[in-house]
Amino acid sequence: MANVHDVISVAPVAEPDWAEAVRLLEQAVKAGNQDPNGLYMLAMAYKHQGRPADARATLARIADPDANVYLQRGVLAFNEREWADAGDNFAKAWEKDASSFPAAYNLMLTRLCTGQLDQALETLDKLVPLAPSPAENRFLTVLRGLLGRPGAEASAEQIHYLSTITTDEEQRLLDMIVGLNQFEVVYRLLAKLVSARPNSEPAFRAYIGAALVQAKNLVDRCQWSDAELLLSPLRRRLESSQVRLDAFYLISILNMLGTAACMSQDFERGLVHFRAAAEAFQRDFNTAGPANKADRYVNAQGVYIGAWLEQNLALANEALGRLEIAEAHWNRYFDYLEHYFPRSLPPDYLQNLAFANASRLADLFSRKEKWLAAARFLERAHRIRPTDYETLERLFHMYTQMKRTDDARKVLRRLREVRPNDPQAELFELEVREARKLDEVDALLTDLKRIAQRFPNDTRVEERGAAIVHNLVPILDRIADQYASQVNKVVDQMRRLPSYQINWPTVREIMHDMEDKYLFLRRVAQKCLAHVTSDDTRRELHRLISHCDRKIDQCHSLAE
Amino acid sequence: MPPPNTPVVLQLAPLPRTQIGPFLILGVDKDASKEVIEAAWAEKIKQARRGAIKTPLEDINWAREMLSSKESRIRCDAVAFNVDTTDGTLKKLKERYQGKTQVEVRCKPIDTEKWLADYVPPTPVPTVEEIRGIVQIPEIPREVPAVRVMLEDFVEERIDPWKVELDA
Repeated sequence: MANVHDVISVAPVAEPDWAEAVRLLEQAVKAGNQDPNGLYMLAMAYKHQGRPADARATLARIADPDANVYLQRGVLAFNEREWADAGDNFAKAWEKDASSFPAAYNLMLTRLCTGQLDQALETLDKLVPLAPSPAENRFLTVLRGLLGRPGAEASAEQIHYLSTITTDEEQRLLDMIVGLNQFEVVYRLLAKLVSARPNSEPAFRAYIGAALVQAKNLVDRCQWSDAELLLSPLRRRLESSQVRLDAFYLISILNMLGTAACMSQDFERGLVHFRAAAEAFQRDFNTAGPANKADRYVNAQGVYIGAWLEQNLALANEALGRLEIAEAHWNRYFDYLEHYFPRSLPPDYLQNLAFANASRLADLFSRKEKWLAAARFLERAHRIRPTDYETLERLFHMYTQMKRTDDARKVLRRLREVRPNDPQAELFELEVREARKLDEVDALLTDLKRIAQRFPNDTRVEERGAAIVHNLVPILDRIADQYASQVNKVVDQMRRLPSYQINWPTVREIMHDMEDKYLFLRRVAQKCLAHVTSDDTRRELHRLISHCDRKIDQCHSLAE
Repeated sequence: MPPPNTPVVLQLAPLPRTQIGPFLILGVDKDASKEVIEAAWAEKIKQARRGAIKTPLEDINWAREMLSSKESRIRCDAVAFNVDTTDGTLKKLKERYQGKTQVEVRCKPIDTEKWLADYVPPTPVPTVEEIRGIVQIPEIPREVPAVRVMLEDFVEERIDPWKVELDA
């Protein structure tokens, strides 16, 4: 089919020098030439030079514009998307020259672009007889068939044309429709074209594409319900259609549906869509395709599509509080990210992303007291950034909490390698040390004192020392209780037995021994006081010391 | 008071902005450049002021702030849902349907220009004779000092007999 531009030809100029033309024409106008054609030529030279504002200003100076001047004003306004001005000028051009096909066609196009379907149809009715060729006439008839009012019966001729249009005609029609800038118009026309040509792949692709763009606009405006309303029937149509489109269209629809559902706080429904997206991708993955098919699975930053789909699933599960399932998805997500580390752009993007997420998840799982999973995420973060001190520190505390002393010691060694002279690492060593007996507690306190002397006025040391001592107080209480029960046991027996049956030398020996033990306990409690910052702990220790004092007196009296 | 058996409609509180994330609030891709983010932010601010969107202004500003530093952007990326595919299906479609050059490329008006190759400006151009007729040569008065100087120069100039060119 001949293009309308071929029919209404403009004689080509061999390599026009628009700059020189502008220079000379400007001189002519400046010298006083106000001839409409002179100004028109200058305006056209401006237009071809890419100066539409100057072109429009020059055309506006023409005193008595003819049809073509109005047409050019309209074209320039149309290109600037100033539809009202464009429509006004095209209408005037048509008024001046009722036989002008370009003026009428452009007016119809402008009305389509502004969504004035009825007016466009009205113009189209008058436009068809003006068509400069049978091919153009046929094209416009097809367009009229598409534009027909909803419910209005299309003529037999229109139906015939719609079902028999050639690939070129269809492409031209699609190009025109897609460029209309009005979603409602574009969608309506494409829907009609698709129902007239159910097996046309380009028409169906354009139809789905237009809906996807509109849905994305709705998502971008956070209009979640509207996006779902548009996408849900579209998904059904896409899945039931005989025309097979690119799988990524379906994945995009499902991703948007899932996101919209989650943003509407229906995470369960979001999960259903995200699962369907993952399945659609899996099907596409398993389908044979060109050698470079896998290239599109990785974006410019190096993120694999599988990672994105897993991330969506993980986030939805996380929101539902299904942390075990979320963990499985996150693990797959990290595996994909780590696999593509070498393709990361910028080079550290994927590493940073994986690290930030692993750290966040470690926090999240710790808060939920899922220590094992939290430790696994921290281990992953540590693998990504082996020298990150904060991660090592958190990992150390995690292992300590989980009583994984050997792992904690390994992390401690690594901490010392990363920061050889850091008092924190020395203090961490004290934390992993087992202190159940009094002499172990005493040794720990001695080391704590040594570290405090080595790093004087270091608040971190003071704080950490206070925390360690705070944890020691219950141990000292427990030891004091043990001692008390031992003393009480002896005293009970002494009360029950007659004096002659009591083995006084043994009693004295035991009491002497207990007195020594209490003295030691008291010394250790005193040592603790040096590191205490909290009033509660200090009170606890003073109570323990008083208790020791009483017991020492008791043991002493019994030992005499 | 509503009639009995009327279902009570509970309205959910909107999701916190941290759960929506800055990418969805501004409607930008995860790999969006700084310029794109700034443009999206400006557009959203306009829309919010016009009441075209429900997103609060402070959330829009927060989203821009979150995406302005590398660290916070990465953290937000980690908890953001993915709408598009890795080959940018939606991005390409949007460019195709609503891109800058979309109207010029796809929905072109018919642009016909007047044929003015034979154009002659309507300015009257006089002939040489007419111009000669118009120009009046002034008579040089004898008393003009230049005449005397010119004659003196002519008289004082030495004549080289070998270089004298005679008219044919």
